[in-house]
Amino acid sequence: MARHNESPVDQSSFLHDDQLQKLVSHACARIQDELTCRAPFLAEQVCGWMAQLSPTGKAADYFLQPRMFPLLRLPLWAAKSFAAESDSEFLADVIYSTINGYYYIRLLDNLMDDHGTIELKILPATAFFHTEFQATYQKYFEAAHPFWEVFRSAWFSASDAVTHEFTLDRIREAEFERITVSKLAGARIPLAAVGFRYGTGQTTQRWENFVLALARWSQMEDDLFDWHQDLRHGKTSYFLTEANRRKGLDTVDAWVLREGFQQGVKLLQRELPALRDLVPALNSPVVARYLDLRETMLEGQKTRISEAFQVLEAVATVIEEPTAQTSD
Amino acid sequence: MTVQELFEKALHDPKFWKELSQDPSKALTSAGLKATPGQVAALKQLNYKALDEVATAFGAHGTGIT
Repeated sequence: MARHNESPVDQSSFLHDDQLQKLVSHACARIQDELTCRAPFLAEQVCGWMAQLSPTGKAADYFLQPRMFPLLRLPLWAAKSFAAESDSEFLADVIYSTINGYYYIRLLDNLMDDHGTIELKILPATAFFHTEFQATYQKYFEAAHPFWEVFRSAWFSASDAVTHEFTLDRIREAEFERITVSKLAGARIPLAAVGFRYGTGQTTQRWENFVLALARWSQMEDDLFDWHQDLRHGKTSYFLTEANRRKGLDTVDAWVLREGFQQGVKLLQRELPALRDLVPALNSPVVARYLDLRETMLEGQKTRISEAFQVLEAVATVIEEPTAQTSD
Repeated sequence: MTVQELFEKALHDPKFWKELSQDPSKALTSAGLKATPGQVAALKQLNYKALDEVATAFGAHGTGIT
């Protein structure tokens, strides 16, 4: 269970990781340097886009937000559980590769979801991001190494699922489990790299299982908190499909405010124990603390957002009363 | 004004909520609505600060997973 006597700020202090901050800052600077050297015109636009994604305007900070899926933390946590002494050059390369892979997906995803700003203009940057994502591992794994089968399998099934999901006009539970969850298979790649470098087959498999389960949970959370953006952009999700099925004569917005948000949070809370069951086999106390933090954050959001929704419903009720009608 | 419109305002129109908390009658008149003194009193009692969380939680792209 989460440590409810600690504030989320105290509880999240372990996420402040000097090693990760340094690796992420270094990787973002490396992307900017490589681009500036090899594609200077593109570099200016891409660096602006990277900064614009971040709430602080500093590219690296984007990846260090507590609510962000811990795509970059997981390989470091796994490496720590496998080996007392990690190879810092290798870990720097894993972080660099993963950030490039992330930007590749982010760029395409923003376009497909219609969240784009300048993404169409910088679409050729996908050549850079994909090359750097893949080529970084060539230093460590020769062409016949089994790592590349994991890479191909994860990367292609994720691409297949993204394309498949885009054609769906509703996502029921079966599609969520079979297609939406497969979109996240790319998260296996940095874990597999760390596993082949330091781990054993069995320990790596445990980490991959956990990563996919956490990615599934994070996707449910993303669907819940992105419901309004998704609705506005005409994108479907498991949450919105359920909303349309359950709303009756209400609008989706009214249903979410009345009960849908609470139901979404309850589902996330119900799913947490299954994630926790995978943790003891990882030999990683930091993962258990991470789940505690997410549980506390979710409970805090549930309370604060419920209060906000009550205010909105109260205002709507007053405005809908017969006397508060359009003035002539 | 529907719940949907109010939710949009919670995301993008902090000025509306500031006016509604300070002078509900004026804010509603600006929105083309008339309110009774009882309704104005009810609107004055609400905790509009709570709405900050709506923009924080739903305004930006979430966890970055997809």
